[in-house]
Amino acid sequence: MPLKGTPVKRAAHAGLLAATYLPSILKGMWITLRHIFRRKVTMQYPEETWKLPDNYRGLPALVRDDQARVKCVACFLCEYVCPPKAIHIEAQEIPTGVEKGPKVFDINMLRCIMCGYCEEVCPEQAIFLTKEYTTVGVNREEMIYHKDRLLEMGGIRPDPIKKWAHLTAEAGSGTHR
Amino acid sequence: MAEPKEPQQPPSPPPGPALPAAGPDDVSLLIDDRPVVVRKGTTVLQAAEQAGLLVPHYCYHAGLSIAGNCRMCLVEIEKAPKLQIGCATAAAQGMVVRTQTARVKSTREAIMEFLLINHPLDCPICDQAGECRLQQYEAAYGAGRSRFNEEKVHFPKRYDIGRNVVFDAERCIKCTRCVRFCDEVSKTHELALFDRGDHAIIGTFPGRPLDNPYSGNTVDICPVGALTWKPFRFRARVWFLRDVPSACAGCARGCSVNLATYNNRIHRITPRQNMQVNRFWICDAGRESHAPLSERPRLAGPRALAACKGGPQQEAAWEEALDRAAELLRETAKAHGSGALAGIVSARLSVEDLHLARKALSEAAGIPRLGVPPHVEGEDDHLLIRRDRTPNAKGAALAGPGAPHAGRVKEILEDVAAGRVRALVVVGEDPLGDGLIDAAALGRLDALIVIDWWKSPTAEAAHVALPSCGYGECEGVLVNFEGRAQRMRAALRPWAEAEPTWRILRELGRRFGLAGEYPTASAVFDEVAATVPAFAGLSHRALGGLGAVVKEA
Amino acid sequence: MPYEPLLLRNAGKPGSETIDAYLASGGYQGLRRVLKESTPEKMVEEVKASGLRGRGGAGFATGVKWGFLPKTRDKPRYLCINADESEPGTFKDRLLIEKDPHLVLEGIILSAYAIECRTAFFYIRGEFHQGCRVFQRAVDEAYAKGFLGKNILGSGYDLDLVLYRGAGAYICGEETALLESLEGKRGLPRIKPPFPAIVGLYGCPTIINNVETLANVTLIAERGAAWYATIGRPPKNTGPKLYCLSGHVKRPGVYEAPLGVPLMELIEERAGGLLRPDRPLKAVVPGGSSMRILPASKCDVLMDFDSLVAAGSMLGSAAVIVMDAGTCMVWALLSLARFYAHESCGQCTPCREGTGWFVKILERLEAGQGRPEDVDLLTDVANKVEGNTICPFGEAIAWPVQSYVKTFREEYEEHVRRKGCPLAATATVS
Repeated sequence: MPLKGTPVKRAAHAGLLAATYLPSILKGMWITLRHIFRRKVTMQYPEETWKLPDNYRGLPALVRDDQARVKCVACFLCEYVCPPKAIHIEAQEIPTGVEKGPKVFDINMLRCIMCGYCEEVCPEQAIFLTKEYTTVGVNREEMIYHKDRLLEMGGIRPDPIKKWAHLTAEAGSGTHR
Repeated sequence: MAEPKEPQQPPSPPPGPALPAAGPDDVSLLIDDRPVVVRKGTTVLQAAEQAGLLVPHYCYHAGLSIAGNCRMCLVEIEKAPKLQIGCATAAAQGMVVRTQTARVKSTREAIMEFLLINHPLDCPICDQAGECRLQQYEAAYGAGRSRFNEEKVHFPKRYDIGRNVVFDAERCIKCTRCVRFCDEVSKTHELALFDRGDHAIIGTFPGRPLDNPYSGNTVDICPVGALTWKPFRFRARVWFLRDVPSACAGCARGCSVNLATYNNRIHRITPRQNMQVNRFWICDAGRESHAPLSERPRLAGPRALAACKGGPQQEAAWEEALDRAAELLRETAKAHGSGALAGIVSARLSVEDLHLARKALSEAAGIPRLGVPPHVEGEDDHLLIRRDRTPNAKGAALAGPGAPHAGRVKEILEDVAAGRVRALVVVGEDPLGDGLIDAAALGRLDALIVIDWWKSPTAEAAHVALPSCGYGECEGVLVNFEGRAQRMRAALRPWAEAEPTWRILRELGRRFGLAGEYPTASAVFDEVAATVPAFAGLSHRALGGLGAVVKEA
Repeated sequence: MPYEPLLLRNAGKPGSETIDAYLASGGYQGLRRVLKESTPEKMVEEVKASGLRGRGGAGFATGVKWGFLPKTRDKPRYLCINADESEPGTFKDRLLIEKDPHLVLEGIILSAYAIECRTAFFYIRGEFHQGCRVFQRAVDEAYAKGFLGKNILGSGYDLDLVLYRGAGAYICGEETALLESLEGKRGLPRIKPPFPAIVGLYGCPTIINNVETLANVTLIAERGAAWYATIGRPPKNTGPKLYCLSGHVKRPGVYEAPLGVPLMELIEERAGGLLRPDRPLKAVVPGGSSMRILPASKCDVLMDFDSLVAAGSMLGSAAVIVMDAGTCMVWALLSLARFYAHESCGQCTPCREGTGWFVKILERLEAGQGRPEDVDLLTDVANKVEGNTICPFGEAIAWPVQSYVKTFREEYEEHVRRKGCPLAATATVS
């Protein structure tokens, strides 16, 4: 089926001056000139980055407490709640202090939708959404962030509530009243 | 302290609301205005249960004596000035019980508060979370807040109380179910309550840890996370687990169990109540009977020796391996006569497997002798464990090649060693690993065909090794020593290329002209029911969750 | 008219604990008469007619209690004597055991005869070293003289008495915990019903009586129910009673008076009045530490079972604990709560957890860290403990908490307001 259409109206049809394209060029240059004196909106990424609001939801990361203890106790609630099933945990027994911690804590950043459910559900305040949003990797394997990398991203987060203080101080040995 | 008052004369039953008529051994009572008729001697808690009303409780357990210490089941009984515990109060004719009054509710709230003031808030690391009575009842009956602003009482956590059990004294609510279990059921008396008041603690006696063949049941009946099962510790959160009802294949008792699965793996085995078999309990060995599945090397796919003898086993396609097996059997029969064929079949297999072993091996392939080795270990104990470790000896006798018989197996293997038997089919057994025969004698065979779920020494020495499903991977029926047929259920997808034993036998049999369709295990069982009088009228569906007794002649 | 002591008639005389002294003062005559002339049924009737009420604490009629025994004889019957006297402020049984053991022993034999028991168990508090020694000697003497053993006094009646020392747990004074302890188990109260009269020691019908109760049985056997019923405040509060006075009085000790003696007469005349003239009476616990406290304004009361119930407390073990104006009621309750927290057997939830909670709240109040809501919290927790426990231990701590806080609420609030104890410097117990 042959194509149908209307011919484009060339500037030549609009008159001689228009045919020189000068009015359009000047008009364009005028716009450019005006913008020179306006506030610049282009950001020199990656040298410059966004200033993010405090409630920005970026990549999730694990944090340590002020004694550099891994706060995560491998309760699996984040794995359970995660909508895209991006989290995979394997628990292990820890010989001192809090009994339980993650042996494996993987987040598949290809799956993660940064919804923040994991942060919300965490009973230990061990996982937080960072302001990090740049995720690059050359293969799928690299996009699965392991425990060490997640802990490095999260860093130390001092917490006023010392829920496990009595255990971490005495390394698990209970005391009678 | 005041001495308790002596009993008052029981009040005469009020004319009150209409009570249903009760027989001479029954009493009728009203619970929350519902008329209930129960046997004499039934407690109020049990009567309420029969009426479909839950009276919350911690220390009460149907399989143990009454302790009455948790006080959660306090209910209002008309004419009694105080609330009464439902677990210890016998239902009486004309009794009027109320379980939902404001007084009962506020008392439950109070009991929850008392139980929780010294209970740690470590649900995130507690294995019981998700199946914890404290969590359930706090949600249902608790006030949802605490007025306790003091330091909690601290106790040893992670106390190694026994070989397989870890104790967290802070989580313990002193319901003493575990103590009563060890006193009354296992009769080993390892546990006791020590110390007093809010520093009371469950413990063991010096030099006598909690170490009995049934110690895992204390973990099951612990309503909180105080006792945990070492092999299951931190393995999975319970809300991921799916319980599949099945039967244990550890011994001739065949306890009813639940296989808790997640990610195609059995994470734990817990008892399933079956008053005809195991009541509420299972043994520790049965509890860990899933361990070999992950510990032993599996046969991933069929393997067959290259045509020349002595070469290494190679992976083969199913059809190829089955053809090779059939060919080997046929060649041997041709060369040495069918008397040179024999088979060893396990009584650990299901009725379906054994039925097809008979049909395919004896009838179709013409193997004249099939031996079933017995597996005996120790003695029968007072509770569940049987010395006969084959879960389906009775099934083998009724529907399979015959009851386990050590002499017949010995005879076959002697004939193997002497070269009189030239081809041997081994189904689910490991005579080499069990030391019934040595490798040299086995090496004399022209054909060794092994059907097993793991790379047993016998399977490694086989000319053709065919991978069957492991425990929990296939359907089947077991008949226990008392003649009760119960279903094993498939809880897992079969490992790699493994197939149910009956299906492998069906395929092998077809190469010898076996006629039947046998599409499913339940169809195989239907044929058993139709041909073996003991199983008449039974079917997978008819067996249900609790099984049925076969009719023995 | 000066009161002639009956229970303490021998106590204090030199050698009063020997059988010779007891026989010389006319002892075992009641037993002789009963074995010769009476029958068990008549003996039960006699005790019923005397109106004797148990002296252990609850004040239940002894004869009626005996009547609860099943009529069948297919199982042996046991008599257990509760000599595990541990209630704070109570030391009357100890005096009887140490000073006049044969008075008690005669009562035991009489009661055992009445309930047709062949073996009696004397459960004595572990800490009563002297009492245990004295009583064992008394038992040996009684065996030697034929008051115990086979064919007592030629009557054909046999009775063995076993002396059993407890290990010093308050809870073993609760009758079913006592039975458990006697059976060699941990002293934990049993669920009732069944009551011990039906299923008691070793599953057999069992009567548990207090030491003082049994001493009273001797009096009834000696001089008859009709005489006994005239003592005290008939018809419901008959007989003599031992009162233990302690606290801020000049002469603490055990005093005998009939039931119904005025409380103030005991304090003022018997115990010599308050310890310090500058400190007026503040409150009295009339029946042992687990009973409700009476403020000074309510102390004009008669010391018998029914009058004290009317006054809002109970006679209990008749241990009168006197507190003068120098006593801090928070401190006093804390002291009690610590005792109960230590002695709670740990079996059932409200008592196990509640007793420890009381201590923690009271310690904070006394240390000046109280919060306004603590005062109501104490009462509320006590209300939740009361009536919800296996044994009366729950009430034994709930009643003091409820009554101390209710009666002296202002003082508790003062502790919160002033962040500490206003009486801390002066509070003493002599």
